[in-house]
Amino acid sequence: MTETVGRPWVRADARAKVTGQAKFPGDFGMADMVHAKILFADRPHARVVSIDTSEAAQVEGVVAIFTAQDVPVNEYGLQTADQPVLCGPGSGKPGADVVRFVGDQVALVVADTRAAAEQARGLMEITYEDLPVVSDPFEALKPGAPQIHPGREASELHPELSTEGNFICHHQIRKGDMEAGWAQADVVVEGQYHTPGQEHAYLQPEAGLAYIDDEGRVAVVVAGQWAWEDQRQIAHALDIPVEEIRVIYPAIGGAFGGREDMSVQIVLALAAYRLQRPVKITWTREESIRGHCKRHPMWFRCKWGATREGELVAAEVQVVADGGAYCYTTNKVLGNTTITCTGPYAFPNAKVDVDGVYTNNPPSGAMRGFGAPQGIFAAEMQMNKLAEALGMDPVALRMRNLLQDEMPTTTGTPLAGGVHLQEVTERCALAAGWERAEEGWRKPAAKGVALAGRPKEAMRTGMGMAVGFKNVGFSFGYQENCWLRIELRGEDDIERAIVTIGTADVGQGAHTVLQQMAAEALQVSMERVSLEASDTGTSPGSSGSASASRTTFMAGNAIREAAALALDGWREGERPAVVEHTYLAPETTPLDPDTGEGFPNFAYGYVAQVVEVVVDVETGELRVRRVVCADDVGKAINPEQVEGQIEGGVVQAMGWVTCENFIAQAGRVLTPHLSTYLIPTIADVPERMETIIVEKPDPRGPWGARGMGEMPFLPLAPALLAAVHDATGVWIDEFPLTPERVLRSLRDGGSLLECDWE
Amino acid sequence: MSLDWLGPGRVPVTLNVNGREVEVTIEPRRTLLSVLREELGLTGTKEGCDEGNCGACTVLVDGRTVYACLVLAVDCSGRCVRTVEGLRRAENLHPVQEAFVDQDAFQCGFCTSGQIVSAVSLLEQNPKPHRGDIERAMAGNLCRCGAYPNIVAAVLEAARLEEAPDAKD
Amino acid sequence: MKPFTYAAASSLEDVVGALDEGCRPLAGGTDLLGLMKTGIRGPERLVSLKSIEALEGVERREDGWRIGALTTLSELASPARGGEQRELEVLSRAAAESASPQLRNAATIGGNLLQWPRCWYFRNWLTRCWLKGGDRCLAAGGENRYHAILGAARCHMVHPSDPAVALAALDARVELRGVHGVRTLKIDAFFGEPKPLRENGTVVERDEVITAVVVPRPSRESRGVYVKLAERKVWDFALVSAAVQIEMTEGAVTDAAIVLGGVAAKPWHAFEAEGRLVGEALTGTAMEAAASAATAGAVSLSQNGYKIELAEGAVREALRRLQRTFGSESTGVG
Repeated sequence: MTETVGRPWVRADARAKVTGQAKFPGDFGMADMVHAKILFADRPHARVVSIDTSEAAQVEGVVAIFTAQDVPVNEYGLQTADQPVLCGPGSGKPGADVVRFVGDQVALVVADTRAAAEQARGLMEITYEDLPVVSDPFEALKPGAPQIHPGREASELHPELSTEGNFICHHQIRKGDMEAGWAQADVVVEGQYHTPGQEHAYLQPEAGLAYIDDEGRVAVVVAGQWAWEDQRQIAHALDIPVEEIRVIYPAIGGAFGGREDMSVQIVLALAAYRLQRPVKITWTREESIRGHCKRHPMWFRCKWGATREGELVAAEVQVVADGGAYCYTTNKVLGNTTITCTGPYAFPNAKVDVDGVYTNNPPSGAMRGFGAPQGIFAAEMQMNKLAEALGMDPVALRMRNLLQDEMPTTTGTPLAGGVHLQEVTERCALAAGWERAEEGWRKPAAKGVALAGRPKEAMRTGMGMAVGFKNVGFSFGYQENCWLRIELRGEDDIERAIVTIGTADVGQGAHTVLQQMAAEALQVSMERVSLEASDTGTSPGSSGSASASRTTFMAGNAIREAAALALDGWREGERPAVVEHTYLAPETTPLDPDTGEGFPNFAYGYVAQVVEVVVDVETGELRVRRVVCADDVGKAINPEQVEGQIEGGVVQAMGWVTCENFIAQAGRVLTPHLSTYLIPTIADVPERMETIIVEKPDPRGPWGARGMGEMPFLPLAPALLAAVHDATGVWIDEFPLTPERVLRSLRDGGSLLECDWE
Repeated sequence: MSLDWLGPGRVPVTLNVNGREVEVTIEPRRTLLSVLREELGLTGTKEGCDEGNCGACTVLVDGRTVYACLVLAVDCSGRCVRTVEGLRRAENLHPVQEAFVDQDAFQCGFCTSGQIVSAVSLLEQNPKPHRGDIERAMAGNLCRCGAYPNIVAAVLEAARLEEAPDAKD
Repeated sequence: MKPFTYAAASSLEDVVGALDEGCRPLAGGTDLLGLMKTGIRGPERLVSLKSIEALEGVERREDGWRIGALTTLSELASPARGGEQRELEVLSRAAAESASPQLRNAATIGGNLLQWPRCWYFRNWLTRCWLKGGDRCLAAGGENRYHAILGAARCHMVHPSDPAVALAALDARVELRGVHGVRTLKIDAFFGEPKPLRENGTVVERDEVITAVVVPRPSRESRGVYVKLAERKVWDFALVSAAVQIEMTEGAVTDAAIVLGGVAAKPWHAFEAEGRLVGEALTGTAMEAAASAATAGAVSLSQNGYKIELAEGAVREALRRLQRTFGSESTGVG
C-alpha cells in the first residue's frame, strides 16, 4: 500500500504559486498580440437602436470593432441560450438588440494597446432607447410589469423553465396532507426571511488570451469551471465545429461558482478567429463586478408546525428568487433551494413553492452552495425559533427530527449514501460545550466577556447552532458523468502514469487530490503520476464542472474505475496501457412538477456549526469569537486541504453575513469596487475556528469520500443569527449584519420585512 | 530652475528591480504594476483590482510595501523595487515562501505573491510578531479563498525559521 | 488613463509656478491615480512632489509640531517617537486606523486632506451628481446609508479622512503656499462648503499646495483619543468616528475638543457637546450629556439615521477611554 489517500500532500502547484511563477490567464502574452476592451451597456434595460463605430475606428492602433452583426449565432447560456453574446441590431437573433442589465456586452474593441482600445471604446456612439426597468422580483411578477424575455420558447431539456411572464422557473413540493398536519401542530412558527446577493470577488478578475494554435484551432486560455462546456458554447456562437475550439485553463484565481457561466470566452474566440491573431483581454475589477453573475437574493415566507413534544408535523414554504436578467443556472440553484428550505428534517406534510424571476438586475447564478445556503438559512431560522417556542434545547429538537437512513425527505425518497446528520450535530454540540445529561441536551451557560474596557452592559454574548446538508453534483435527472484517460508507461513496473482529465483546479486543490487518488488506485508513488488537466485539446470528453462539490466524488470514481481497467490491460501486457473511460454516477430523477416527488441526488454532505458571538449593543458591532464546524466529508483524501476548505467556507460565509453588501439601485450597481463591496480581511475572521472532520464513508464515494467544498458555508448564517438572538433576545431575519441593521433591529425588536407576497 | 517635462509619449526610465538596473521606455502614465508585468515580464505581481483595493500587486519600494497599481513607474526612478520574484535566496525559497508551502497558506494562489511580500516586510521590521501584529501588517492583502488562519500560521512559522533556520521539523 | 506629461520638482517654487487647472501636484497618488483611471480626473500635467525636501519631516518645536505635507500616514502612525508621541496620540491613532498598511506607506497627510469624496454617486463615472455639475444630489433621494447627517445642504458627501478629524480636535492649521505667498487655515476654514466642481471640498486654490500641517502643542494635562466605527474591522472608511482631546486640571475639564468624522463634508466640531464638558468632572452624567449633545442639529436622510446613534456611541466610548486614561494616571497606575 502506498497510502497516498488520506495524507496532507502539499499542493502540486505550491512552489509555482509562492514564487510567482504560476501563470493565471492575465499573465500570458504572445508576439503580435492585440488587446481588447468590451463596451458594456451600463444601463439596465434598453434597446440598442444603432451603433456608430466610425469615430472609434479612427483611433490610432484600432484593429477591429465587433458588434452583434458579427456574431454568427448570437446567443449563449449554460441552461438555456437566453443571452446575446453582443447586444445590438443586425444579428438575426430575436431580442438580441435589447440590453437587460448593466453588464450586457455591446461591442468588442480591439487595438494594438490596451490604452488605444480603451480610448476607442470611449468614442463608440450607441443610440439606446431606454425601456422600463424592473429590479424588484415581486414587482416583476405583477400584471403590466416590463417583460424581460417576451416570446421565449419552452425548453425540452429543462421542462421546469417557464415561458410565462417573468417567471424563469417554478419548483414545488406537495407532500402529505397539510390540513391534517396543521391539526396536529401544537406550536406554529411563522417567519419571513431575506438573504442577500453575494459577489464572488475572486481575486483574479476575468481575463484571457485567444490565439490560433498549431493545429489551426481557436485556443482560448481563460479561467473557467467546465472547459468542455465553454468549448461547446463558444463553438455554438461561432457556428464552427466543436473540435475547432480549444479551451485551456491555466492557474485559476478562484471561482466559487462565478466562472460557471462565461464572461470573455466567446468574444475573445470570435476576435481571434476573425483576426487570425492573438487577442488578450483583462477586465477591471469594476467590469468584473458589473459584468458577472451573483448569488441569488431570495425571499422566504415560512410556516412550520410541531407537536408539544417537538415532533415536526408540517412545513409550508414560499420562495421568490431574483434571477436577474438571464437564466444562468437559476433552475438548478432553485432545485437545491427546494429540497433544502425545509431543512434536513423528516416532515410528513410539506408544501413548497419556489419561483425564479427575471429582473433587470445582474444575473444570479452559481455561487458556493448553489441555493442551499439560502434554503438552509430559512429552515434553520425556523428551527431555532421553534426550539424557543417549544422551550426545547435546539440540539435536542434537532436530534429528534433529523433525517436518518431510509427516512423519506420531502421528495419522498431517502437521502443517498448514508445519512450522518445526527453524528455531525452531536459531535459539533459536544465540542462546543453542550452537555448530554439524562434529561436531555443542555446548552453551556453564556460566559461574560471583558473586551478592551467596553462596558459590560453593552457587550452581549451568545451562542447559536445550525445544521446543513447539500447534494453532490448537478443531478435532478441530469446524468452526471466524468471522462478521463489513463496511460501507464514502463516495462516491468509502471514508471509513469499519465492522467488526462478536463477537471479544473479553481484553487480548491483538485489536481493534487486527483493525483493522490490516481497514485492510490494504481498503487504507484505520487511522483510517478502526472496530470494533464484542463485542456480540451487533450481531454475531448466532458469531465464535468468543478462545482457543486462534485469533483472529488466524480473524478475519484472515474479514476478508480479507469485505473482498474488500465491495470487489467497492464497485467495483460499492454505497453503502454491506455484507457479512456467515462464514469457515470448513479441515476437520479427530476422532481415531479406537481408533487416534487423524485430521487434528485446520488450523494450528500452533512455539516453542523456552533457560533459564539459578542454583540455590542451600543455600536451594533459584532465579534465572532468562535466557530465550531463538524463536517462529514466521508473520507478526507487530503486532510489539510479539507481543513482549508472548511476555514475558507466559513470566512466566505462570514463575509456574506457580516460585511458584504451588494447594492444596486434600479439595476445600477453602486458597489462595483472592493472599497465599497467589502470582503473579509485577515482581521475579520473568527477568533477561534475549530474544525472537526467526520469521516463516515459514502459507500459509493471514492475511498468513501463525499463532496465537501460547499458544506462549511451552509449553516454559518443561521448559526450566527441564532447566536445574536441568544445574545440580545432579538431575531434578525435578514443580513448583512451591518451596525445599521443591528441597531435598527434592536430598536424595532426584530426585522420588519415587508414583501409583496401574492 | 525649471521643470523637466517628460511625456506624454514614451520616455526612458531607469528602475532598480530586484537588485538590477533596468531601463524601460514608457509613457509617464504607466503604473509600476503595468511596467513590471508588461515590460519586464514579472507577472508574479498580480493585477487584482488595479485600484488599490485588494493587495495582489503588493511590492516593496525602498523597503516599504505599496500597491504597485497606485504608483507611477516614472515616480520610481532611482528607487529600489522588490517583487516576489526577487525574494529567493540563491536557489532556495525565502523562509516566508517555504512557510507558505508548509502551512498550506493559500488556495487559488492569486493573492499569494502580495501576501508573501507583505509578510517579508513585516518580518524585516518585526522579527517576532504576535498574531495581532500579523493581522495589522497583513490587513491590506485580501484572500477570497479565506486562507487567513493558515497565513497567520505561515508568518509565525517563517519567524521561527528565520530565527533558527534548522528548527523546522 | 488619459496621457499626461510629468515632471519631478525639486523645489517648491517650481511647483507653485507650474500649478493650474490642468497641472496638478502628485504626492502619494493613492487617490489621484485611482480617479484618473476611472476618468473622473484627467490632468494634462503632473508635478511630482516626492523629491522636495522642504515638504518632509515631522518636527517638534517650542510652540508646536510641524508636520511636512509629504509625511506618510505610516510615519504618523508609527509608535517610534517616544514619550512625545503622546501629544499627538489622537492623530497617531487616526492615522493607524486609516486604510491599509500599503496605502499608509504611500499616502501623505497633505494628500489625505485633499482626497475627493468617496460618495458612490460621485465616484461612479456613469453618473453626474450635483458636485460634478449635475442638478441634484443623487444620494438625497437614493441610497444614502453612508451619507451626511450634519451640515449638508446641496450635497451629502462625508469627508473620508480619519486624520483630518484628529487634526481638527488638535486645533491644527494647514499651511498653504501659492503664487501669492503663504497662508495658514484652521481645519474648519480649510474645508469650505461643498461646491460644484470644487470636488475635494476644500478652499485650496489651483495654484496652491499644502506645505505642512501645524499642530499647537497640547498642554501637559491634555489627552486625546480616536474612536472609529466601521463595517469591516480594518481597511474601511468610518461610518462614524470621534476624535476627542481633553485637558483636565484638578479633576475638572478645562478644555475639550469633540470632533466627529463620517457625519459631514468636513470634520464636525460638536460645540454643544464640548460646552457640556468644560468645568465638569468626567462623571457618567457629564459624559452622557456630552454624548447626547454631540449630534445636535443632525438631520437624517432615509437610510442614515443610525449614524446619530453611532456618533453618540463613539463620543461616549471616547470619553470613557479618556476617563480611564486620566484615572489611571492620577492613581499612578499604568
